[in-house]
Amino acid sequence: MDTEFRSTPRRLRRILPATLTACACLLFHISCSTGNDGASGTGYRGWMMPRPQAKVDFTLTDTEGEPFEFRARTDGYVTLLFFGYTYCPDVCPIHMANIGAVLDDFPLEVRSQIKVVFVTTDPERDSPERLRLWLDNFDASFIGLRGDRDEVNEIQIALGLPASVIEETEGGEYLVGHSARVLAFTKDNLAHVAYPFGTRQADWAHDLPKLVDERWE
Amino acid sequence: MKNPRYTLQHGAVFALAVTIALACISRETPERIDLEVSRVFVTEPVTGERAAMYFSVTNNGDVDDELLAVSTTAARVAEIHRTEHEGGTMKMVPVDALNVPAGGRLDLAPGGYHVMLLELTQNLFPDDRFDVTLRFRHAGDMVARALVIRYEEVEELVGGAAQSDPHNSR
Repeated sequence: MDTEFRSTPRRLRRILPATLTACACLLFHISCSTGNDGASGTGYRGWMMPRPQAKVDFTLTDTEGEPFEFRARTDGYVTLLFFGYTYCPDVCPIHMANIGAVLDDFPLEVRSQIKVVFVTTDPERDSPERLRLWLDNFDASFIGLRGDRDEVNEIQIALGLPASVIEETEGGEYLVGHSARVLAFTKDNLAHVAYPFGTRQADWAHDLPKLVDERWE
Repeated sequence: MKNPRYTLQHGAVFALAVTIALACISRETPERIDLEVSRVFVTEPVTGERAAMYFSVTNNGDVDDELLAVSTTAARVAEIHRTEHEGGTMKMVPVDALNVPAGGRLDLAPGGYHVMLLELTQNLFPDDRFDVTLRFRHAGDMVARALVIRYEEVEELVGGAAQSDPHNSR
């Protein structure tokens, strides 16, 4: 009896820190969880930009040969913007295929609030027809844009992305180095989140509906 | 135990003998070459003329090996490429050979290494299968069967070098 009585505070002393830690963890978890709910700007699986990137007001030519005023035509939509080329072996087609696959599963009300814009960094080889054929493979609604190389590079730089690099190879072909990042503009016409190569379908499925509802309050 | 110095010397001699014996054994045992090629996937050529191939090579032997070349009747050209990450951009760089260390594994995956199949000689559609020959420095030629998959299946079937290990491709 006596020993048991005396041992209790010692046990408490041992248990207390652990209990406090557990409580702190729980509180932290709760505050984080509530933060994740709704339109609070957290809980995204993409990369949060240190400073949100504003849309650049550019006009390029779409696959129908018509001018496409990027800022005006994407206003009010969640807009995924990506720069790449159709000869790209894996980075570009995997990004596009993953986004396309996820959009297929969304209800129309979500789907209809998202636009995907692909700008070619290889306008010499990516004809409008080729670009259309390539994009249709992933989603017929994807918008394909072309412009001359300098113009596209200027747009990339204005968006805080590295300009594309062209390198000749031995066989007279050339490789196009380009940014592997998809910029996600929300309805405020700012990109708060970017998606690196390696973003999985589950990540898109998680983030895109959140971006549609996002108000950044 | 009464003479620890004697025991120490004795032990040293014994250890030396064991080392020599082991060295003799390993010299006499032929080096074992044992490679296994698995998960050979080719992405559906969306615009027809080229496709990327990925696979894994497991080296169960005790000799470092090297992948030197890949060939297939499905394409006139097959080049080994590395995706290089540099200042926020990615680009493909041809490489001559890929190391397959003894007891290790070589994984070709998006964002890391791939084999680019150029000038395809046949139409490739998802679920198609065709043979590819992998040439290794020591193991020689190995034939494996490739499966054509859709790009949206890549993350599940092949994974990606970029997501699991951003430093994979130097």
